[in-house]
Amino acid sequence: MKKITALLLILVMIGLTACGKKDEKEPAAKPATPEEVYAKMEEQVTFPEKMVRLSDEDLLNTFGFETENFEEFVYVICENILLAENIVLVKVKDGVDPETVKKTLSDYVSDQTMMLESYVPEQAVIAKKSVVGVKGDFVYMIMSSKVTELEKIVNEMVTAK
Amino acid sequence: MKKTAFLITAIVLAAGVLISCSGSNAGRVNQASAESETTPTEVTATGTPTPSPSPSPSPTPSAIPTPTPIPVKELSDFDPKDFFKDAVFCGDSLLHHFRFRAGPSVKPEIFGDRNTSEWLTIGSYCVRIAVKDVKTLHPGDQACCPKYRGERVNLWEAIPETGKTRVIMFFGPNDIGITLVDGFIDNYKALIEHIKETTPNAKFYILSITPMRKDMQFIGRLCNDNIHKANERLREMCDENGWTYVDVESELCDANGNLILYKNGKAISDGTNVHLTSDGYEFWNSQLEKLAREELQKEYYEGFK
Repeated sequence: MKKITALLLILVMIGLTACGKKDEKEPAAKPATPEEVYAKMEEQVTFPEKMVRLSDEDLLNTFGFETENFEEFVYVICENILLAENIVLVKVKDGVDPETVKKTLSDYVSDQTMMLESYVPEQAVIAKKSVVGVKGDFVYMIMSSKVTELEKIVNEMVTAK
Repeated sequence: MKKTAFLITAIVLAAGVLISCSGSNAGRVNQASAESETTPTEVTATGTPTPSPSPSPSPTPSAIPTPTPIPVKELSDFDPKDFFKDAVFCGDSLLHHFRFRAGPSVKPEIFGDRNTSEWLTIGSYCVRIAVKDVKTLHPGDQACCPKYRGERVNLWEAIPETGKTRVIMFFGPNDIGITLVDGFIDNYKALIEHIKETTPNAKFYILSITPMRKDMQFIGRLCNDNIHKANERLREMCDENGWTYVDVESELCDANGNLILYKNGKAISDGTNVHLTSDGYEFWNSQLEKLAREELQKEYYEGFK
């Protein structure tokens, strides 16, 4: 009887210790990935027209980005080229300078604005208000009529290291 | 003892049946092979029946070889994706929309996916700009040139880099309002000549210009009269130079040559002056599929010449 009681006590203690450890090591919230951020954007924001996903080949042709430098990316544009809507979300790999990615995206905004000024001037106004930012290893460019709502999602989901 | 004799007899009979069967099958294969060699439905590359060889008077081994019959292939035997994987599309917003509203986005079984072909397209692109060296253009015009590997490019430099040799082009709506038809055709020819210098084995497929909405024309400049004139000249240009003219216009015109707005109850125009809906591109899809099959068949028979 004594042996059983001792065994039960040991088991209870192990259980309590394990619980205590779990509380001590509560994992920090992981920053969201580009896919997770875009999923939230799609869920919360209504785009003016259908958005389409572009491939690593398109990312290379448009920006010169080699996707081997990225952990993950999302590149979407509006199916209708007459609308400015254009979003790039990138998580760079360790050792890749996010500022160089940001610089390329900023240059793209100027370039696209210039193209739209002569083509669809009212969309150039939207392009001009684009936001490009870096949060740790997360780089983003949002060119959209819904830029404020979309950037808010990035700010809520991605925390700088 | 009786059982043993019965067993031996059965084995001998079975062996006999097997041997005779295999012999007759082999005979059938040979016969079929011989039949297929002389079948009258087979045609040569020129489409004429294969003549049976006349008996040679001297049976020397170096006699004229028997012409190999060319197996007939119908258009449906060719996979259009084999055509489009060698294609680079060059042009303006109508081609850009084709990529995302039609073609590879709705019929990947015909066109492959969106990256099977290369796409050197951008809104507002025109031959008036494309014919000039991008480095000499002012920044506003540079921004209207397509990008390849992150750089604004000249078509004659980017096309050889893509490794593609079927050049499918759509230009016009951003040209004829400015340079009118003569200037448009001159620039188009000059652009293709530039591309031929860097990609001598390129084949050119020129899409006609699709009509625009009647209510959005700029009479005397970008209007359906000029679009139809330009298409006539494009057809002549192609005939004179051995390039292929692809009609993507005729089924989109009403009796007066204006863009039809609805077909079978479906919208054709997307509400802008020249752009089409996904349904509006159905004619493009079918014409390009037809082009791909016809070209592959033509090249197949040319391979036997």
